[in-house]
Amino acid sequence: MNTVVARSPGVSGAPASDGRATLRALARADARRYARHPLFLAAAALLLLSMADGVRQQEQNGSPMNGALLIAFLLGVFGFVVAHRLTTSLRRTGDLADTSPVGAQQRTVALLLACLVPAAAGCAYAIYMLVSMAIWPPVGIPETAHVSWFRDESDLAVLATLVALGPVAALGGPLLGVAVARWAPFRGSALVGVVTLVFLVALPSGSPTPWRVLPPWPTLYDEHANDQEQLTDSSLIDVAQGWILVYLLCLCGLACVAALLRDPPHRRALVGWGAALTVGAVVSFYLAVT
Amino acid sequence: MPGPLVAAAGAAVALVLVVAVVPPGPGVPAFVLHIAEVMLAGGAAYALDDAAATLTDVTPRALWRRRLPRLAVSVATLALATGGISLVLHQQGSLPSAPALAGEVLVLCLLAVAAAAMLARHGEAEPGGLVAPVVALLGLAAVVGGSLMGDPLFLTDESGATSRGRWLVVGVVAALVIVIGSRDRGAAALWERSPRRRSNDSGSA
Repeated sequence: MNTVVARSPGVSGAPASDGRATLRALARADARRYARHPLFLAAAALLLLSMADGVRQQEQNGSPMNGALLIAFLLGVFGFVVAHRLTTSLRRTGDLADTSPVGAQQRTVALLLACLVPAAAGCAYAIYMLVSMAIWPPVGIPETAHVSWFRDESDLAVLATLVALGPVAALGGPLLGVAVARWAPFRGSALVGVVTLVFLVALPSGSPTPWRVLPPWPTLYDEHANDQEQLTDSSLIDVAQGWILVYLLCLCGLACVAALLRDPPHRRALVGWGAALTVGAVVSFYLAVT
Repeated sequence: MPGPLVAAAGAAVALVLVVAVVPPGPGVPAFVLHIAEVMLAGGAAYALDDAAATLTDVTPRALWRRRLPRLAVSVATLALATGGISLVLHQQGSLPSAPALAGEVLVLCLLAVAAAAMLARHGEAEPGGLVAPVVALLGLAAVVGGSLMGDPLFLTDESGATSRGRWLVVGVVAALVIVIGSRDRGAAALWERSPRRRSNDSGSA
Protein backbone atom coordinates (compact mmCIF):
# COMPACT_ATOMS: atom_id res chain seq x y z
CA MET A 1 0.00 0.00 0.00
CA ASN A 2 2.78 2.36 0.92
CA THR A 3 4.30 2.05 -2.51
CA VAL A 4 1.04 3.05 -4.09
CA VAL A 5 0.59 5.94 -1.72
CA ALA A 6 4.11 7.23 -2.35
CA ARG A 7 3.28 7.37 -6.05
CA SER A 8 -0.06 9.05 -5.53
CA PRO A 9 -0.20 12.71 -6.60
CA GLY A 10 -1.71 14.07 -3.43
CA VAL A 11 1.03 12.91 -1.11
CA SER A 12 4.22 14.35 -2.55
CA GLY A 13 3.56 18.03 -2.01
CA ALA A 14 1.39 17.42 1.04
CA PRO A 15 -0.24 20.85 1.26
CA ALA A 16 -3.22 20.94 3.60
CA SER A 17 -5.69 21.48 0.72
CA ASP A 18 -4.63 18.18 -0.83
CA GLY A 19 -5.97 16.22 2.14
CA ARG A 20 -8.96 14.95 0.24
CA ALA A 21 -6.91 13.93 -2.76
CA THR A 22 -4.57 12.03 -0.47
CA LEU A 23 -7.51 10.34 1.20
CA ARG A 24 -9.01 9.41 -2.15
CA ALA A 25 -5.70 7.93 -3.28
CA LEU A 26 -5.33 5.99 -0.04
CA ALA A 27 -8.93 4.76 -0.18
CA ARG A 28 -8.48 3.62 -3.78
CA ALA A 29 -5.29 1.77 -2.84
CA ASP A 30 -6.97 0.10 0.13
CA ALA A 31 -10.05 -0.75 -1.94
CA ARG A 32 -7.77 -2.48 -4.45
CA ARG A 33 -6.07 -4.39 -1.63
CA TYR A 34 -9.47 -5.40 -0.30
CA ALA A 35 -10.75 -6.51 -3.70
CA ARG A 36 -7.62 -8.62 -4.27
CA HIS A 37 -7.61 -10.30 -0.87
CA PRO A 38 -7.90 -14.11 -1.26
CA LEU A 39 -10.68 -14.37 1.34
CA PHE A 40 -12.78 -11.73 -0.42
CA LEU A 41 -12.15 -13.41 -3.76
CA ALA A 42 -13.17 -16.78 -2.28
CA ALA A 43 -16.36 -15.25 -0.88
CA ALA A 44 -17.14 -13.55 -4.19
CA ALA A 45 -16.53 -16.82 -6.05
CA LEU A 46 -18.96 -18.65 -3.74
CA LEU A 47 -21.57 -15.95 -4.31
CA LEU A 48 -21.10 -16.26 -8.07
CA LEU A 49 -21.50 -20.04 -7.79
CA SER A 50 -24.70 -19.54 -5.84
CA MET A 51 -25.97 -17.14 -8.52
CA ALA A 52 -25.14 -19.65 -11.26
CA ASP A 53 -26.91 -22.38 -9.30
CA GLY A 54 -29.99 -20.18 -8.84
CA VAL A 55 -30.14 -19.46 -12.57
CA ARG A 56 -29.68 -23.16 -13.38
CA GLN A 57 -32.50 -24.27 -11.07
CA GLN A 58 -34.85 -21.50 -12.26
CA GLU A 59 -37.02 -21.82 -9.15
CA GLN A 60 -37.01 -20.64 -5.57
CA ASN A 61 -38.40 -22.76 -2.75
CA GLY A 62 -38.50 -21.84 0.91
CA SER A 63 -37.42 -18.49 2.25
CA PRO A 64 -36.14 -16.09 -0.40
CA MET A 65 -34.26 -14.24 2.36
CA ASN A 66 -31.74 -17.09 2.68
CA GLY A 67 -29.77 -15.42 -0.11
CA ALA A 68 -29.33 -12.36 2.10
CA LEU A 69 -27.93 -14.60 4.84
CA LEU A 70 -25.34 -15.76 2.33
CA ILE A 71 -24.29 -12.15 1.80
CA ALA A 72 -24.14 -11.56 5.55
CA PHE A 73 -21.92 -14.58 6.12
CA LEU A 74 -19.66 -14.54 3.08
CA LEU A 75 -19.17 -10.79 2.82
CA GLY A 76 -19.86 -9.76 6.42
CA VAL A 77 -18.11 -12.43 8.48
CA PHE A 78 -15.34 -13.06 5.94
CA GLY A 79 -15.09 -9.29 5.55
CA PHE A 80 -14.40 -8.93 9.26
CA VAL A 81 -11.24 -11.02 8.82
CA VAL A 82 -10.22 -9.31 5.57
CA ALA A 83 -10.54 -5.83 7.09
CA HIS A 84 -8.74 -6.98 10.24
CA ARG A 85 -5.85 -8.36 8.16
CA LEU A 86 -5.60 -5.19 6.07
CA THR A 87 -5.64 -2.99 9.16
CA THR A 88 -3.06 -5.00 11.08
CA SER A 89 -0.84 -5.12 7.99
CA LEU A 90 -0.06 -1.46 8.71
CA ARG A 91 1.29 -2.60 12.03
CA ARG A 92 3.22 -5.51 10.56
CA THR A 93 4.95 -3.10 8.18
CA GLY A 94 5.33 -0.45 10.87
CA ASP A 95 8.73 0.78 9.68
CA LEU A 96 7.32 1.56 6.25
CA ALA A 97 3.94 2.82 7.45
CA ASP A 98 5.60 5.26 9.84
CA THR A 99 7.43 6.95 6.97
CA SER A 100 4.14 7.68 5.23
CA PRO A 101 3.27 11.41 5.32
CA VAL A 102 -0.34 10.71 6.38
CA GLY A 103 -1.52 10.13 9.91
CA ALA A 104 -2.89 6.91 11.37
CA GLN A 105 -6.39 8.37 11.49
CA GLN A 106 -6.36 9.20 7.80
CA ARG A 107 -5.19 5.68 7.02
CA THR A 108 -8.05 4.36 9.15
CA VAL A 109 -10.53 6.52 7.21
CA ALA A 110 -9.14 5.08 3.98
CA LEU A 111 -9.60 1.55 5.31
CA LEU A 112 -13.16 2.35 6.36
CA LEU A 113 -13.87 3.66 2.88
CA ALA A 114 -12.38 0.49 1.40
CA CYS A 115 -15.14 -1.41 3.23
CA LEU A 116 -17.49 -0.09 0.54
CA VAL A 117 -16.08 -2.83 -1.71
CA PRO A 118 -17.93 -5.68 0.07
CA ALA A 119 -20.97 -3.42 0.46
CA ALA A 120 -20.99 -2.94 -3.32
CA ALA A 121 -20.66 -6.69 -3.84
CA GLY A 122 -23.57 -7.17 -1.40
CA CYS A 123 -25.64 -4.65 -3.37
CA ALA A 124 -24.89 -6.52 -6.60
CA TYR A 125 -26.05 -9.80 -5.07
CA ALA A 126 -29.19 -8.16 -3.63
CA ILE A 127 -30.01 -6.79 -7.10
CA TYR A 128 -29.49 -10.28 -8.53
CA MET A 129 -31.97 -11.59 -5.92
CA LEU A 130 -34.53 -8.95 -6.90
CA VAL A 131 -34.15 -9.67 -10.61
CA SER A 132 -34.07 -13.47 -10.36
CA MET A 133 -37.10 -13.57 -8.08
CA ALA A 134 -38.99 -11.22 -10.36
CA ILE A 135 -38.40 -13.73 -13.17
CA TRP A 136 -38.91 -16.87 -11.06
CA PRO A 137 -41.15 -15.81 -8.13
CA PRO A 138 -40.52 -17.74 -4.88
CA VAL A 139 -43.21 -20.21 -3.82
CA GLY A 140 -43.90 -22.04 -0.60
CA ILE A 141 -45.02 -25.62 -0.03
CA PRO A 142 -47.93 -25.68 -0.93
CA GLU A 143 -47.82 -22.86 -3.45
CA THR A 144 -50.36 -20.81 -1.50
CA ALA A 145 -48.15 -20.75 1.60
CA HIS A 146 -46.93 -17.44 3.00
CA VAL A 147 -43.52 -16.39 1.63
CA SER A 148 -41.37 -13.56 2.98
CA TRP A 149 -41.29 -11.70 -0.34
CA PHE A 150 -43.22 -8.96 -2.14
CA ARG A 151 -46.41 -10.91 -2.82
CA ASP A 152 -47.14 -11.63 0.83
CA GLU A 153 -45.32 -8.83 2.70
CA SER A 154 -45.23 -5.05 2.41
CA ASP A 155 -42.77 -3.76 -0.20
CA LEU A 156 -41.01 -1.46 2.25
CA ALA A 157 -40.54 -4.23 4.82
CA VAL A 158 -39.08 -6.63 2.24
CA LEU A 159 -36.73 -4.01 0.81
CA ALA A 160 -35.60 -2.88 4.28
CA THR A 161 -34.96 -6.49 5.34
CA LEU A 162 -33.08 -7.25 2.15
CA VAL A 163 -30.85 -4.19 2.53
CA ALA A 164 -30.34 -4.81 6.27
CA LEU A 165 -29.39 -8.46 5.90
CA GLY A 166 -27.48 -7.94 2.67
CA PRO A 167 -25.44 -4.84 1.84
CA VAL A 168 -25.53 -3.36 5.35
CA ALA A 169 -24.37 -6.64 6.90
CA ALA A 170 -21.64 -6.81 4.24
CA LEU A 171 -20.57 -3.31 5.26
CA GLY A 172 -20.90 -3.74 9.02
CA GLY A 173 -18.67 -6.81 9.36
CA PRO A 174 -15.61 -5.19 7.73
CA LEU A 175 -16.15 -1.92 9.61
CA LEU A 176 -16.15 -3.88 12.85
CA GLY A 177 -13.01 -5.68 11.68
CA VAL A 178 -11.21 -2.35 11.27
CA ALA A 179 -12.39 -1.18 14.71
CA VAL A 180 -11.28 -4.40 16.44
CA ALA A 181 -7.92 -4.34 14.66
CA ARG A 182 -7.32 -0.71 15.66
CA TRP A 183 -8.09 -1.36 19.34
CA ALA A 184 -6.88 -4.95 19.73
CA PRO A 185 -4.05 -5.46 17.26
CA PHE A 186 -2.57 -8.47 19.12
CA ARG A 187 -2.11 -11.84 17.44
CA GLY A 188 -5.22 -13.94 17.78
CA SER A 189 -7.64 -11.01 17.99
CA ALA A 190 -9.06 -11.84 14.53
CA LEU A 191 -9.78 -15.41 15.64
CA VAL A 192 -11.34 -14.42 18.96
CA GLY A 193 -13.18 -11.51 17.30
CA VAL A 194 -14.79 -13.47 14.47
CA VAL A 195 -15.81 -16.40 16.67
CA THR A 196 -17.23 -14.10 19.34
CA LEU A 197 -19.10 -12.12 16.69
CA VAL A 198 -20.77 -15.20 15.23
CA PHE A 199 -21.54 -16.49 18.72
CA LEU A 200 -23.17 -13.20 19.78
CA VAL A 201 -25.22 -13.13 16.57
CA ALA A 202 -26.32 -16.76 16.73
CA LEU A 203 -27.06 -17.01 20.45
CA PRO A 204 -30.18 -14.79 20.66
CA SER A 205 -31.63 -15.99 17.31
CA GLY A 206 -34.14 -18.21 19.11
CA SER A 207 -35.01 -15.65 21.80
CA PRO A 208 -38.17 -13.53 21.99
CA THR A 209 -38.43 -10.49 19.70
CA PRO A 210 -36.66 -7.64 21.48
CA TRP A 211 -33.52 -9.76 21.96
CA ARG A 212 -33.39 -11.51 18.61
CA VAL A 213 -33.12 -8.21 16.71
CA LEU A 214 -30.46 -6.78 19.03
CA PRO A 215 -27.32 -8.31 17.38
CA PRO A 216 -25.67 -6.55 14.44
CA TRP A 217 -27.01 -9.28 12.14
CA PRO A 218 -30.50 -9.83 13.51
CA THR A 219 -32.92 -12.63 12.68
CA LEU A 220 -35.60 -10.78 10.74
CA TYR A 221 -37.65 -13.67 9.40
CA ASP A 222 -39.04 -17.01 10.54
CA GLU A 223 -39.16 -20.27 8.65
CA HIS A 224 -41.53 -23.15 9.25
CA ALA A 225 -40.99 -26.76 8.21
CA ASN A 226 -43.31 -29.75 7.94
CA ASP A 227 -42.78 -33.21 9.42
CA GLN A 228 -40.51 -34.18 6.53
CA GLU A 229 -38.33 -31.17 7.39
CA GLN A 230 -39.38 -29.46 4.15
CA LEU A 231 -39.62 -25.71 4.39
CA THR A 232 -43.30 -24.88 4.13
CA ASP A 233 -43.48 -21.12 4.59
CA SER A 234 -41.53 -18.11 5.79
CA SER A 235 -42.56 -14.72 7.11
CA LEU A 236 -40.93 -11.52 8.29
CA ILE A 237 -41.05 -11.12 12.05
CA ASP A 238 -43.35 -8.55 13.64
CA VAL A 239 -41.02 -5.55 13.93
CA ALA A 240 -40.70 -2.29 12.00
CA GLN A 241 -38.09 -3.44 9.47
CA GLY A 242 -37.37 0.10 8.31
CA TRP A 243 -36.34 1.16 11.81
CA ILE A 244 -34.19 -1.96 12.14
CA LEU A 245 -32.35 -0.80 9.03
CA VAL A 246 -31.78 2.62 10.65
CA TYR A 247 -30.60 0.87 13.83
CA LEU A 248 -28.07 -1.21 11.86
CA LEU A 249 -26.81 1.85 9.99
CA CYS A 250 -26.28 3.56 13.35
CA LEU A 251 -24.25 0.52 14.49
CA CYS A 252 -22.13 0.80 11.33
CA GLY A 253 -21.53 4.46 12.15
CA LEU A 254 -20.57 3.54 15.70
CA ALA A 255 -18.02 1.03 14.38
CA CYS A 256 -16.47 3.83 12.27
CA VAL A 257 -16.35 6.18 15.25
CA ALA A 258 -14.83 3.46 17.44
CA ALA A 259 -12.10 2.82 14.83
CA LEU A 260 -11.29 6.52 14.48
CA LEU A 261 -11.28 7.20 18.23
CA ARG A 262 -8.08 5.14 18.53
CA ASP A 263 -6.04 8.18 17.43
CA PRO A 264 -6.04 11.56 19.20
CA PRO A 265 -7.11 14.00 16.40
CA HIS A 266 -10.75 15.15 16.34
CA ARG A 267 -11.61 13.22 19.49
CA ARG A 268 -14.16 15.74 20.74
CA ALA A 269 -16.08 15.73 17.46
CA LEU A 270 -15.90 11.95 17.27
CA VAL A 271 -17.26 11.57 20.80
CA GLY A 272 -20.12 13.88 19.78
CA TRP A 273 -20.84 11.76 16.72
CA GLY A 274 -20.62 8.64 18.83
CA ALA A 275 -23.14 10.00 21.31
CA ALA A 276 -25.52 11.05 18.53
CA LEU A 277 -25.26 7.65 16.85
CA THR A 278 -25.82 5.87 20.17
CA VAL A 279 -28.98 7.88 20.77
CA GLY A 280 -30.04 7.19 17.18
CA ALA A 281 -29.46 3.46 17.64
CA VAL A 282 -31.41 3.34 20.91
CA VAL A 283 -34.34 5.36 19.54
CA SER A 284 -34.56 3.41 16.27
CA PHE A 285 -34.36 0.10 18.11
CA TYR A 286 -37.13 1.22 20.46
CA LEU A 287 -39.29 2.34 17.51
CA ALA A 288 -38.61 -0.94 15.73
CA VAL A 289 -39.73 -3.23 18.51
CA THR A 290 -42.69 -1.23 19.89
CA MET B 1 4.17 -20.29 25.68
CA PRO B 2 1.96 -19.67 22.59
CA GLY B 3 -0.13 -16.75 23.85
CA PRO B 4 -2.85 -16.76 21.18
CA LEU B 5 -3.37 -20.50 21.68
CA VAL B 6 -3.82 -20.05 25.42
CA ALA B 7 -6.16 -17.08 24.78
CA ALA B 8 -8.23 -19.12 22.31
CA ALA B 9 -8.41 -22.11 24.65
CA GLY B 10 -9.41 -19.85 27.55
CA ALA B 11 -12.03 -18.13 25.42
CA ALA B 12 -13.47 -21.48 24.29
CA VAL B 13 -13.82 -22.73 27.86
CA ALA B 14 -15.22 -19.38 29.02
CA LEU B 15 -17.77 -19.43 26.18
CA VAL B 16 -19.11 -22.84 27.16
CA LEU B 17 -19.00 -21.98 30.86
CA VAL B 18 -20.93 -18.73 30.42
CA VAL B 19 -23.62 -20.37 28.31
CA ALA B 20 -23.83 -23.25 30.80
CA VAL B 21 -24.14 -21.00 33.83
CA VAL B 22 -25.88 -17.77 32.82
CA PRO B 23 -29.11 -18.70 30.98
CA PRO B 24 -31.17 -21.10 33.08
CA GLY B 25 -31.88 -23.40 30.11
CA PRO B 26 -31.75 -27.11 29.42
CA GLY B 27 -28.02 -27.13 28.64
CA VAL B 28 -25.37 -25.93 26.24
CA PRO B 29 -26.68 -25.83 22.65
CA ALA B 30 -24.76 -27.85 20.06
CA PHE B 31 -23.78 -24.77 18.06
CA VAL B 32 -22.03 -23.27 21.10
CA LEU B 33 -20.03 -26.47 21.45
CA HIS B 34 -19.08 -26.33 17.76
CA ILE B 35 -18.05 -22.69 18.05
CA ALA B 36 -15.83 -23.62 21.03
CA GLU B 37 -14.29 -26.44 18.98
CA VAL B 38 -13.60 -24.07 16.10
CA MET B 39 -11.98 -21.67 18.55
CA LEU B 40 -9.71 -24.45 19.85
CA ALA B 41 -8.77 -25.46 16.30
CA GLY B 42 -7.97 -21.85 15.46
CA GLY B 43 -5.75 -21.70 18.54
CA ALA B 44 -3.94 -24.87 17.45
CA ALA B 45 -2.84 -23.06 14.29
CA TYR B 46 -0.44 -21.02 16.44
CA ALA B 47 1.33 -24.15 17.73
CA LEU B 48 4.05 -24.04 15.07
CA ASP B 49 4.72 -20.29 15.23
CA ASP B 50 8.38 -19.46 15.64
CA ALA B 51 9.10 -15.74 15.44
CA ALA B 52 12.86 -16.45 15.35
CA ALA B 53 12.60 -19.06 12.60
CA THR B 54 15.36 -17.43 10.54
CA LEU B 55 17.75 -17.98 13.45
CA THR B 56 16.53 -21.34 14.71
CA ASP B 57 16.42 -22.85 11.23
CA VAL B 58 20.22 -22.76 11.01
CA THR B 59 20.81 -24.51 14.35
CA PRO B 60 21.87 -28.17 14.20
CA ARG B 61 18.79 -29.32 16.18
CA ALA B 62 16.21 -31.22 14.17
CA LEU B 63 12.95 -29.47 13.31
CA TRP B 64 10.74 -31.65 15.50
CA ARG B 65 13.23 -31.37 18.36
CA ARG B 66 12.99 -27.57 18.14
CA ARG B 67 9.21 -27.67 17.98
CA LEU B 68 8.81 -30.19 20.78
CA PRO B 69 8.55 -27.86 23.82
CA ARG B 70 6.06 -25.57 22.12
CA LEU B 71 4.04 -28.48 20.78
CA ALA B 72 3.98 -30.16 24.18
CA VAL B 73 2.62 -27.00 25.82
CA SER B 74 0.09 -26.58 23.00
CA VAL B 75 -1.16 -30.17 23.22
CA ALA B 76 -1.40 -29.91 27.01
CA THR B 77 -3.33 -26.63 26.77
CA LEU B 78 -5.75 -28.00 24.17
CA ALA B 79 -6.25 -31.23 26.12
CA LEU B 80 -6.90 -29.25 29.28
CA ALA B 81 -9.43 -27.02 27.50
CA THR B 82 -11.20 -30.00 25.92
CA GLY B 83 -11.29 -31.71 29.31
CA GLY B 84 -12.70 -28.56 30.89
CA ILE B 85 -15.42 -28.28 28.25
CA SER B 86 -16.30 -31.97 28.64
CA LEU B 87 -16.52 -31.51 32.40
CA VAL B 88 -18.84 -28.52 32.10
CA LEU B 89 -21.06 -30.34 29.60
CA HIS B 90 -21.06 -33.46 31.77
CA GLN B 91 -22.14 -31.42 34.80
CA GLN B 92 -24.93 -29.95 32.66
CA GLY B 93 -25.95 -33.37 31.41
CA SER B 94 -25.52 -32.16 27.83
CA LEU B 95 -22.28 -33.92 26.89
CA PRO B 96 -23.15 -35.62 23.57
CA SER B 97 -20.31 -38.16 23.56
CA ALA B 98 -16.87 -37.63 25.07
CA PRO B 99 -14.99 -39.67 22.41
CA ALA B 100 -16.86 -37.87 19.61
CA LEU B 101 -16.00 -34.50 21.12
CA ALA B 102 -12.34 -35.46 21.59
CA GLY B 103 -12.22 -36.84 18.03
CA GLU B 104 -13.68 -33.67 16.53
CA VAL B 105 -11.27 -31.44 18.41
CA LEU B 106 -8.34 -33.66 17.43
CA VAL B 107 -9.22 -33.68 13.72
CA LEU B 108 -9.94 -29.95 13.59
CA CYS B 109 -6.65 -29.22 15.37
CA LEU B 110 -4.78 -31.56 13.02
CA LEU B 111 -6.28 -29.68 10.06
CA ALA B 112 -5.15 -26.35 11.47
CA VAL B 113 -1.65 -27.62 12.26
CA ALA B 114 -1.40 -29.20 8.80
CA ALA B 115 -2.15 -25.86 7.13
CA ALA B 116 0.32 -24.14 9.47
CA ALA B 117 3.01 -26.77 8.73
CA MET B 118 2.68 -26.24 4.99
CA LEU B 119 2.95 -22.47 5.37
CA ALA B 120 5.91 -22.85 7.75
CA ARG B 121 7.59 -25.05 5.17
CA HIS B 122 7.21 -22.25 2.64
CA GLY B 123 9.04 -19.80 4.87
CA GLU B 124 6.22 -18.28 6.95
CA ALA B 125 7.68 -17.90 10.44
CA GLU B 126 4.33 -17.30 12.12
CA PRO B 127 1.68 -19.11 10.09
CA GLY B 128 -0.86 -18.98 12.92
CA GLY B 129 -1.94 -15.44 12.13
CA LEU B 130 -2.91 -16.52 8.61
CA VAL B 131 -4.30 -19.97 9.34
CA ALA B 132 -6.33 -19.32 12.48
CA PRO B 133 -8.93 -16.92 11.01
CA VAL B 134 -9.30 -19.10 7.91
CA VAL B 135 -9.81 -22.22 10.03
CA ALA B 136 -12.34 -20.28 12.10
CA LEU B 137 -14.21 -19.13 8.98
CA LEU B 138 -14.25 -22.62 7.47
CA GLY B 139 -15.39 -24.12 10.76
CA LEU B 140 -18.14 -21.54 11.17
CA ALA B 141 -19.16 -22.11 7.54
CA ALA B 142 -19.44 -25.83 8.34
CA VAL B 143 -21.57 -25.07 11.42
CA VAL B 144 -23.86 -22.63 9.57
CA GLY B 145 -23.91 -24.62 6.31
CA GLY B 146 -24.61 -27.90 8.08
CA SER B 147 -27.59 -26.42 9.91
CA LEU B 148 -28.93 -24.74 6.75
CA MET B 149 -28.58 -27.86 4.62
CA GLY B 150 -29.90 -30.14 7.35
CA ASP B 151 -26.81 -32.34 6.98
CA PRO B 152 -25.01 -32.64 10.32
CA LEU B 153 -21.29 -32.56 9.62
CA PHE B 154 -20.19 -32.93 13.24
CA LEU B 155 -19.84 -36.26 15.02
CA THR B 156 -21.48 -34.84 18.13
CA ASP B 157 -24.64 -34.16 16.09
CA GLU B 158 -24.93 -37.55 14.43
CA SER B 159 -22.30 -40.17 15.05
CA GLY B 160 -23.04 -42.58 12.20
CA ALA B 161 -20.48 -44.87 10.57
CA THR B 162 -20.30 -42.60 7.50
CA SER B 163 -19.63 -39.55 9.66
CA ARG B 164 -16.95 -41.35 11.63
CA GLY B 165 -15.31 -42.58 8.44
CA ARG B 166 -15.35 -39.08 6.97
CA TRP B 167 -13.71 -37.58 10.04
CA LEU B 168 -11.16 -40.41 10.20
CA VAL B 169 -10.12 -39.88 6.58
CA VAL B 170 -9.79 -36.13 7.10
CA GLY B 171 -7.72 -36.71 10.25
CA VAL B 172 -5.38 -39.18 8.55
CA VAL B 173 -4.90 -36.88 5.55
CA ALA B 174 -4.16 -33.94 7.87
CA ALA B 175 -1.63 -36.03 9.82
CA LEU B 176 0.08 -37.03 6.56
CA VAL B 177 0.23 -33.41 5.47
CA ILE B 178 1.83 -32.51 8.81
CA VAL B 179 4.47 -35.22 8.36
CA ILE B 180 5.18 -34.18 4.76
CA GLY B 181 5.13 -30.49 5.58
CA SER B 182 7.51 -30.93 8.50
CA ARG B 183 10.26 -32.86 6.78
CA ASP B 184 13.53 -31.56 8.07
CA ARG B 185 15.24 -29.94 5.13
CA GLY B 186 18.35 -29.28 7.22
CA ALA B 187 18.66 -32.96 8.14
CA ALA B 188 18.12 -33.98 4.55
CA ALA B 189 20.86 -31.61 3.43
CA LEU B 190 23.20 -32.95 6.12
CA TRP B 191 22.42 -36.47 5.01
CA GLU B 192 23.26 -35.60 1.43
CA ARG B 193 26.53 -33.96 2.51
CA SER B 194 27.60 -36.62 5.02
CA PRO B 195 31.11 -38.07 4.33
CA ARG B 196 29.93 -41.65 4.73
CA ARG B 197 27.17 -41.16 2.16
CA ARG B 198 29.60 -39.40 -0.18
CA SER B 199 32.11 -42.23 0.14
CA ASN B 200 29.36 -44.80 -0.40
CA ASP B 201 28.16 -42.90 -3.40
CA SER B 202 31.63 -42.67 -4.86
CA GLY B 203 32.25 -46.35 -4.04
CA SER B 204 29.17 -47.49 -5.76
CA ALA B 205 29.94 -45.28 -8.69
